[in-house]
Amino acid sequence: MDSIKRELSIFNKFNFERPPVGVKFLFNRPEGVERLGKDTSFCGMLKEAQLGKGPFYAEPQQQSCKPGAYVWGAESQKVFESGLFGVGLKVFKDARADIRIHQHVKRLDKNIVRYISFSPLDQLSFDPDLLIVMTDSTSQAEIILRAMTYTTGEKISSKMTFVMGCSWILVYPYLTGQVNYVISGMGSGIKANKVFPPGREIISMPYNWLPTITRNLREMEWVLPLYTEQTAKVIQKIKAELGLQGS
Amino acid sequence: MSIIQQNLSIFNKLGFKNSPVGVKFLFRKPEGLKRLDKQLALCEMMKETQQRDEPFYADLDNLACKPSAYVWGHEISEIYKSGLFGVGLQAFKEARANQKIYQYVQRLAPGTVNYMAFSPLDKLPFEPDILLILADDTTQVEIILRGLVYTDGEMWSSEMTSVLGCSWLFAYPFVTGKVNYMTTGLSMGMKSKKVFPEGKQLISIPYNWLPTITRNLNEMEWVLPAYAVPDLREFIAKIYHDMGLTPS
Repeated sequence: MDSIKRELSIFNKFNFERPPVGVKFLFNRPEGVERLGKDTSFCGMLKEAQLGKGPFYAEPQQQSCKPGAYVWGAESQKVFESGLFGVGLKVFKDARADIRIHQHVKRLDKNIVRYISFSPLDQLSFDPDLLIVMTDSTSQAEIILRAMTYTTGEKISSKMTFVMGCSWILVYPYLTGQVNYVISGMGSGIKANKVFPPGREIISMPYNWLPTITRNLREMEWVLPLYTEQTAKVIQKIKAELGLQGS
Repeated sequence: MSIIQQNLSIFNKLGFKNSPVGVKFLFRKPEGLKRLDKQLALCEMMKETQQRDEPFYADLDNLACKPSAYVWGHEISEIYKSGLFGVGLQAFKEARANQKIYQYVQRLAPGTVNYMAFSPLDKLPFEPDILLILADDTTQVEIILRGLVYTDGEMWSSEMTSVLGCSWLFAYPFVTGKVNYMTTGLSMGMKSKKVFPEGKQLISIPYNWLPTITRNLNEMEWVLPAYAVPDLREFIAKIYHDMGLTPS
């Protein structure tokens, strides 16, 4: 555990306004971790941990949000899946548009994931399945996402649906192994509940990406020469080194 | 003014600080448009359009950026594609990472686009192939992208690479027909050139999506009741009631 905390401690160098949050999906009740003392939404649980509460765990019945419960694998009344709820919210014109959302959204199996633990980074007591970072500025997001591409050339993708935004922060990265980021203020539930300040990048990194990203954050330049020096000068210097002078 | 331009005027209601920009990809030189009188990168041509009051066109000789030329469909020295340039920029640790980018990046089909025409929304003399928008805030983005999902239930997908950002703004939406958006400041070239203020969303809408989005922007509520009601729980409970459900 100490080595994981040490590995992830590089994120502290960003001095985020709200700390990164580790999340773990569990079949067995976690030991030595308190149960969350209230019912709230998925995004509300993430906010609790960001605000320093933790570590804690939650169970499916603590979901106060129907879409959040659905994402955690609860069977919903079919009228929700029919799309009529989205029409009632005026999010969709017709039920048929809302129905399509269910093709995209990833869900947990509540019989397999019976508990979810959350913890702010500095209090982590488990090896996280996800590390979720809310950045204060695009520069921070640029550095983290560049750390993903620095040794891999990976594409930077953001997947999201207008409703059930929690699926794209918590479930999609866990089940697919893909890093995902969403912009706060663009999903209806999170926006309506005013959970996060708008316009921030929320980056969700699954465990399989953490060794690469943390290693690259330690190795690479956080501020590229191109951002601080005269662009033309930097480019000319590289061209000269590559034997491309004048082209 | 053509019918499509009248439809697109709905975007003006969002009150952008910088005008949306229509772009057309052309094999033949466009008539009645002035040629751009300077050399710029592709992303800078969008900004140039926002700062001008009239449409213009550009050709390859107007391009000041090698990655842009590649995205435009022109050949560039193989050493760029080898990945060594990205290593020199310190954007990638090794050439192999930079090389991988070329698996993803979309470009205009070589030899098919000799000219690009640019115009601010109000002055559009052509039906655009893509409409580019620099949003001032997340609220505007939320409304436009909701215009995409309101009748179609589409998933939002933002695709980009840390370099060759112009590909995802210009070529990808045109080639694939998919709406794309990207955060300014995440792509190295545009960030280093300081083309746009950081942390804004750039949205690129291809022509095939314009009728749907403009129709939906005309029809739908721009500010959802859920954002404005004093008591969200009460509002949700009312919808449950209307659906014949008891709140739980």
